[in-house]
Amino acid sequence: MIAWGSILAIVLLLLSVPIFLVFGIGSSLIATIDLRQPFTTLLQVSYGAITKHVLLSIPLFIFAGLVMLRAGVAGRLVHLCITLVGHLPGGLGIAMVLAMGFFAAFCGSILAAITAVGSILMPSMVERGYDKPFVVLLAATAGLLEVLIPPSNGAIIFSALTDVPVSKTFAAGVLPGFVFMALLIIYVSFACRRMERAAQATWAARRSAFVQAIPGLLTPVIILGGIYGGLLTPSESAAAAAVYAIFVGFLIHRELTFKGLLDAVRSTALTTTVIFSIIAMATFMSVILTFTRAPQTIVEYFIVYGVTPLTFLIVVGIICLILGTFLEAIPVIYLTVPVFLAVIEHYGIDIIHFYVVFGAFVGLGLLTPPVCVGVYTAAAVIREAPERAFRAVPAFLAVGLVYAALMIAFPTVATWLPSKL
Amino acid sequence: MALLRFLAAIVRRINDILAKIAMAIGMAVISFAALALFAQVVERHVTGQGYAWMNDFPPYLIPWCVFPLMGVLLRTDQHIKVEVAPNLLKGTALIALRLFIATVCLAAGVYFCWSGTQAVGFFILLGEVTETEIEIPFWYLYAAFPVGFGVLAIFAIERILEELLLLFGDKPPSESTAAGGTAEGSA
Repeated sequence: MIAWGSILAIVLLLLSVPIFLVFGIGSSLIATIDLRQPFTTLLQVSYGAITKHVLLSIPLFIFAGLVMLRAGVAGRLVHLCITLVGHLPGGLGIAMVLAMGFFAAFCGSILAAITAVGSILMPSMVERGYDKPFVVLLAATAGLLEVLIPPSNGAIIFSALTDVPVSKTFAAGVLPGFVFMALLIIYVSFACRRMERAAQATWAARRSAFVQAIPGLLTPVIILGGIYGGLLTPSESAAAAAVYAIFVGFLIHRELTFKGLLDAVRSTALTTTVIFSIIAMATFMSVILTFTRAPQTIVEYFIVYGVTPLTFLIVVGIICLILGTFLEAIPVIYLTVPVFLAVIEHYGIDIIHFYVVFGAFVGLGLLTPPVCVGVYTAAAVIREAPERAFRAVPAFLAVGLVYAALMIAFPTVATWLPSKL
Repeated sequence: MALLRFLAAIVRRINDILAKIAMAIGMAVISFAALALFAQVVERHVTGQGYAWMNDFPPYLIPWCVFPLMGVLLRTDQHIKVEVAPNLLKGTALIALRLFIATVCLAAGVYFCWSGTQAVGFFILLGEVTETEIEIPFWYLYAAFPVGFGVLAIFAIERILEELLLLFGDKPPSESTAAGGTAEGSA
């Protein structure tokens, strides 16, 4: 039955049935028919997963980001970044990387960041002569900073699955986030070295841009300061960020309308459903893993074949890249992390290090066609055919692989900051 | 054909109302979660103690946002899926595939609604309540599951009828705007 259930799930997946149903149908058939578990067990496990307090921060951070988007914060951040680096070779590209980094610090959603920053910067980049596929891939790749720089939805979900405190997974992403930003900036500067440079902004213009961006720049201070100052839990800091975003939108920038606010709530509810429906049904699988002892079997397999921790991390990378080519990040996390956990425990690999390596490869999987929502979103912003944009994938994938290799080789980058908490 | 059109129109109208209700519930849950948690933080820092229910309630309400809205996402085709087969097919084959997907959604909706109802019945018999300041019977929370999948099944029927109409040469129906909006930033 396990084999039939798995085959059915794969067939349904390839036929484009929504992933939450694929998880639900396959797992519940195996659990109820083969393992003879009552449906009440599945329901309890599923509810236990989606009502975890820490997961509440996902919709609230998304809400904060969407309100910030409608409050004019993104535009001010982009303007600040352009005044700072716009005159450098590939200045607008570097500004996009920096703006994505800033936006990542108050919004956990990749697509919201691509829409917010990309819709402002991408048309200007194309106007200045940047290659369209390059612009699309840069936006999609820089959007991956959302996975690294806290608050990140991936970090929250990983914490909910592994019981590692969110404060640690958040901290783990900070330095790798800077490394990834640096690599992207180096690549952009190199790729655009022959492009015409813009005039350097005056210090007065920079000061004015900075002052205008201050309300947005304060958001990460509220979120991370609240968490690491011991004042707020992650969910509370997300709620505080959401209320602060409304305050900024209505009273400081005065660009947020009541209609815009309702629109943000509506989008948040729908996005929450997309994410949580997958979590609710994917946790059915944990019942199967527990009863079949699949993780333990896989550990034994690794022991028998004498796999080293380094080889294991590379295997993790390959699996995540392949899965990420066909699946979104959240299903990949729920499919693999429960299985990998037993193995990393066996090898004594630092779970924070594993999280960063795992996140790197899952993120890269999001760049590879056919399933690459970030690329599709960025392409839609400048109305470029995604298929044409795909030709820029290898170069950005190479940058990502360099980053992933660095994360495997230097665990300290991931573990140093969390170890100081 | 006329009967099919008539049925589709009725189901579409029912679903317009269901979508508005589900959307309103989802939006209320999100708004409540943000405000309750923020109010709890303010209260804790001002008075030195906070109401525990403000902290405990929001996560328990999330299922009532998630499950009822699954049908709305099915209608607007916003659920995450692997887009391999639809990119390879065209014309009638593509409509047949979409019809198959909608049928799977209907079958899954009916199965999970039925199983969920049985499970909720069991939890009503157990009479368990949450360990929160204000005790809530657990079945109130679990009931979102069968309700949500029931709603999903009804939306799947709408999709089936529309695909059948397309298969028999009808023009695509105008996009419903009820409870519109898009999911942003699911990744």
